[in-house]
Amino acid sequence: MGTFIENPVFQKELRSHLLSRRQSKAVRIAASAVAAILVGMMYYFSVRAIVRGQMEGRDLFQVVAWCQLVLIIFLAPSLTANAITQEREQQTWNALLLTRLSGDEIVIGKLLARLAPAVILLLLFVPLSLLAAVAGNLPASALYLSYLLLIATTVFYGAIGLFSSWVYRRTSVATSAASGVIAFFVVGTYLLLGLWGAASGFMNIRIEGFAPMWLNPFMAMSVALGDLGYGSPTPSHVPLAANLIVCLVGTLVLVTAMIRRLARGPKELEQ
Amino acid sequence: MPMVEITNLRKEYKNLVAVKGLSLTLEPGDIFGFIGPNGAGKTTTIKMLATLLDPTSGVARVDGIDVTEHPEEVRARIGYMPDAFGVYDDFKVWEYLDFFASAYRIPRPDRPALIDDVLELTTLTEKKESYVEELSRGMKQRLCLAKTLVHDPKVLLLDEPASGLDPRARIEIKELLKELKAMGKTIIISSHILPELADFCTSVGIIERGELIVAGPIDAVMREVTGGRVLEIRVPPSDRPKAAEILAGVEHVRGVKEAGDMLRVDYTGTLDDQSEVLLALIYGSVRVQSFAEQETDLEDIFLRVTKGLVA
Repeated sequence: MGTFIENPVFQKELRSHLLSRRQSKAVRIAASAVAAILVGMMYYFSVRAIVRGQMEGRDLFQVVAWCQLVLIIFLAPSLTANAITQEREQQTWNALLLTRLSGDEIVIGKLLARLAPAVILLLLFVPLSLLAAVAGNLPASALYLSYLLLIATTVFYGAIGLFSSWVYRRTSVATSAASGVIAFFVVGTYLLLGLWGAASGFMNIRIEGFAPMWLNPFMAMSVALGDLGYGSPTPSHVPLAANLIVCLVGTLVLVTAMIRRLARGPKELEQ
Repeated sequence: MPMVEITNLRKEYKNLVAVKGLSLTLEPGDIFGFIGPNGAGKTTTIKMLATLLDPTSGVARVDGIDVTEHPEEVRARIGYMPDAFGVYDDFKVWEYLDFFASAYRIPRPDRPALIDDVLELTTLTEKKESYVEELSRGMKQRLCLAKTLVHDPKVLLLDEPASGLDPRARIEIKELLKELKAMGKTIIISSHILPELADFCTSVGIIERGELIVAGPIDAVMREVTGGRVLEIRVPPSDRPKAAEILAGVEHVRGVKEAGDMLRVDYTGTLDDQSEVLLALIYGSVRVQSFAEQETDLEDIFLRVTKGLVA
């Protein structure tokens, strides 16, 4: 752990993107105050709604989980899609590769540091989710499955953004490519489901049995929350398990591919 | 053992041969000036040495290590400064150097003293706490050079280190390079500022269309290219025809040209023989107003050798 924290790339990325000093202290304090007020209000109104019986703990838990998922889908790839293109654009990438840093230090350092804001966002919601789970007397599985999915999605979508940033030379192209892939997971799979449904005359459609839907994070979240008896409860956990496996394997494949090519040093993209 | 050894190095792109069979040997402490027009192959050669490009064929070794077979070991021995470089603007100067020092595995306790040393060498000590974005272009150039020195490389590959700088900043870079020369670094430097290279380079190479046309110690290159000396003789206008006639008959004189109010004599004789030229003119009753050997500089050599062609 100590070694990881000392990873120069991890530290540099945190310093540049999470603790940026381009903003003045006054701006940072103001931004932190606004964020604290917003989070405070969210907690206040949520707790008040539960106490006054305006909202059930279960409902609040679901709202928080879906909100987090939507935020992660937009945030994770955008945080990482310029991690390497930016280095190329500001002509610092070769200098970085000529050092004695290993490929895994660069890739993992960048991935985790860039995802830090998304992780902080998830952590901000954890107490509220816990509160809602306790108030709603929910099973522990709902809590850990939803957070497992959120974390897996964050890392996988972040890895997709980082991979795009490594493959493409321009930030705009990398961001578009990463967004395109994720749009396929989120929207494209529903389109495929529609086509499949149309082809089969909308007879005997079992969404959880349609493999492309296993890529869909909303489908997986439905399953994670299905234990609560809400949304579209599914009789099987297969879509969730498959989605988690896709996230895990996908992340490993993308990260390993980058690390292996980076082992070639600055010629990593030369054919 | 040579510090840099290049043998028949070749780099081909799809429809272009950027470097054609380049060979070169540099001993430790050599300062090699790489001269050539834009697109001649200087940067490609330097990039191959820096392990940024794979040669199509040929061998390049740094400190005896093949750049293709063991690039990581070569990287530990070189400091590469590209012609176009970037910096992390939101870092303080010392943080920037600390980042690269840690990336080169310099132990944390050793870094503060090391950073102070390279800042002193690059005369940036006063800017230690400044943000990089606040530095002038010349200072950023020196900072980039400081970054290439943090791991104490044996060989420095400097691609146009003074490009885009004002005269003062160029002088500062030149002084810094002299310091590095005194430290015994082996340096390959490409530049368009030819007279400045001549000041501290031990050898030069002129490259055009990917071919090293001539290379060696500066004096030897000059002799090889000019094939002798150029003597500039000032005589009154009325004496010039007679002087030209006399000079044409003197041994080792290859040609005589009028250049303004001077006669330029292309002379292939030795320094001792040179007095014969003056004696011939005096015995011929030519009124010699001045007699001097013209300084041939790198610029002359460059213009003579290259044809302004690019690959």
